[in-house]
This record gives sequence, C-alpha cells and structure tokens, in this order.
Amino acid sequence: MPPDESKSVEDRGRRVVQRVLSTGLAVSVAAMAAGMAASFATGSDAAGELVLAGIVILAATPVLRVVSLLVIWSRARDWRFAIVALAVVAIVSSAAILGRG
Amino acid sequence: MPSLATVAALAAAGLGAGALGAMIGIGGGVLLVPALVLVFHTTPHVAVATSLVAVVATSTAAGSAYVASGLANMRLAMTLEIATTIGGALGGVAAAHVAPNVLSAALAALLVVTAGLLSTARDRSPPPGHARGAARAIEREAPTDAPAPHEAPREEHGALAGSYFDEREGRVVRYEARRWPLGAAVSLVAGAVSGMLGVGGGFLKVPAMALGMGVPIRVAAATSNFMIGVTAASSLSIYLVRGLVAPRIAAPVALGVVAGSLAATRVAGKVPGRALRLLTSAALLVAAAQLALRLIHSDAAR
Repeated sequence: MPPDESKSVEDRGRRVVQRVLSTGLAVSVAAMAAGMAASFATGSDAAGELVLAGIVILAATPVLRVVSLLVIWSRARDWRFAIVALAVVAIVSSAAILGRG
Repeated sequence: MPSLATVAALAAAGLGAGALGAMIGIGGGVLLVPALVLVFHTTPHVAVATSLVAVVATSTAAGSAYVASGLANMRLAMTLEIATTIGGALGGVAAAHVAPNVLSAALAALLVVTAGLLSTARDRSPPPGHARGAARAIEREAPTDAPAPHEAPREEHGALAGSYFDEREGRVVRYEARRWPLGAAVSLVAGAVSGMLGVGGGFLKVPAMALGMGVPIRVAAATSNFMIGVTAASSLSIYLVRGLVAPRIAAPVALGVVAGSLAATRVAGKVPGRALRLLTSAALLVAAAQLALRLIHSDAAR
C-alpha cells in the first residue's frame, strides 16, 4: 500500500476508535449515573436495570473498538490483522458463553 | 440496596484509587480490591468484579488519549489481545470456581509483589536510549515514510512495526516487535491474573514488550494500557453472566475511578512521585498482612 494511503487508513482508524471509546464511555456513565440517581429517588427495579445496562454498555465498548478495527483493516485489505481482530471478537464472545457453564 | 452514605463512600474510594493509581502509574484495581474486601466487607468475588468494571472504565477513558497520542500500536495490541482475552476468560472462569479464601491468598501475594515493584520503581519518564539496542539496530532501514520530527507517530500496514519521534533523543525511532510468541505467553498469564484478581496486568506486559520484544518502553506502556479494556471486558462478561457483579456497588466505584483518574492528569508531574509510591507500597503491605491474618483466623475458626 502506498505510504499516503496507509497513513490515511491509520488516521481514519484512530479517529473511529477514539469516537467509539468516547461515545461508549459517555453513554455508559450517563446510564449508571441516571440509574443511581433514580434508585435513590424512586427505589424502583427499573433504576437498577438502568445501572446494569450502563455496566453492560461499558463492557461492550472495548469490543466495539475491536469490531471497528476489524472493519477498517478489512476495507484496507490488511487481512492479517483483520483476521486477528476477528479472532479477538470470537474469543470475547465465547467467553460470555463459557461463563454460563 | 446500599445507603446514600455507603454509595458516597464507594465513590470516594473509587476517586482516591483512580487518582492515586494515575499519579503513581499503576492501575486502580490493585488498590480497589483490598479496599473493597477490608473496608467495605464485600466478598473477594464481588470486589474483583467491581474492580474489573472500574478497570474497563479507566482504560476506555484513557484509551482515547493513547489513540490520539499515536504511541499505542493498535496492530501489536490486537495481536497480543488474542492471548490476553483467552487468559482473561480462563482467569474469570477459574476465579468463579475457587473458594474466597484462595482468592484472598492470591490477592495478598499480588499486593506484596506490587509493593516490591512500586518501592523499587524509578520515575516514569524513560531514560534516554531505553530499548535503544533494538531500535537502533533497524534505524538504518527506516522507511522514507517515517514521521518527520514533531509529526504524529505511525504504525506500519501489515506489520508489527512503527515509528515515532523521540523528543529527548532528537531522532526518529523505528521499531519492529520481535519474538511475539514470548509476548503472547506473558500476555496469557497477564490476562489470567487480570481475570482472577481484577487488575490490569500491565506490570507483566510492559516488561515483556520492552525487554522481550524490543518495543520502546513508551510504545510498550501506551500499547499495554490500550489493551487493558478488552482483556478486562473478556473476564467481566463471565462475572456478569454468573451474576457476580453488584451494579449498585460497581457503578459508584467506576464513576469515582473515572473522575479520579481524569483529575489526576491535571496534577501529574506536580506531586512527589517517589514519596507517594513508598506510602502506597507500605499501605499495600498492610493490606496484604490484614488479608493474611483474616485467612489465618478463618482457618483457626474451622
């Protein structure tokens, strides 16, 4: 791949990863904070579910970062690392299934 | 449900662990887990799960900064993440099956090791020429697209290699990671320790990358921090499906840790690092001793 094209793929990858991480963190922090506030205000089960949803979104954010890089490297035909990213997604997904056992 | 006072205390503990961890260069997990067990009287499993939530939160918050700096090599991180996520999942499964006392004993041992590393650590800025041997060996073949001075660092398409401009040495450093099986083996262990004890595992990965794989220490530290979120998410998913995460404990701690670590970046470099490290290692030794005493008492009570 020509240097300029390679640089543009890398810059795009970094921008997307930054956006995924900051958005995921912001949404999860908002859900956790709102859920905690609602827990004290209403004591409802729904508030507890909101807190849990915030934690699940937080746990999913780094995985979404891996998925983003999988897409970016696939589009750039960097197959070696696209396959590596796919393997990481598969391992993390199967960890949750393994955990049920 | 914990009282408002308990939630405030949990958030304050998270704030303190996040700030102190960021100031002395360790993850907050190693401070949080003993605090949750000894001060808040949670079970070791809940403490580890809570710490993993906090570790994912701090790593995600810091991740943007590491990506922006360009020092974290995302291809190297992804390659080693295969090993850390397998280790993290195995550590999470193992932790779910071991008795709380075994987990406490492993935690006490980790605290002693961390206290030793902290008390002998020097200031974080790397000495000029660190990992120079590896970098200099390939400097002659630096590609024409290597970054010019003050340009953002780069990694290379299709390879575990990259380059950055080192201000202290005044030159472009190109590196290429070698011996990746060694890095993968250490990453597997780091992932397992992270999944079992709720810590980041950087104290294993950074030396493996810097000393074993010939990666400059600055790149190794940034890449290790970038990897932590995925590793912790892998083990956290196991704690989540097993119902070991206590959301109303984990949420205030995670919010506190994120706030603390972000606040600490504003005072970085203005605090007496050496004194803080010594105080923290003393506190970790006291926590290890308390955990050991509890284990002895619980054995004697049987």
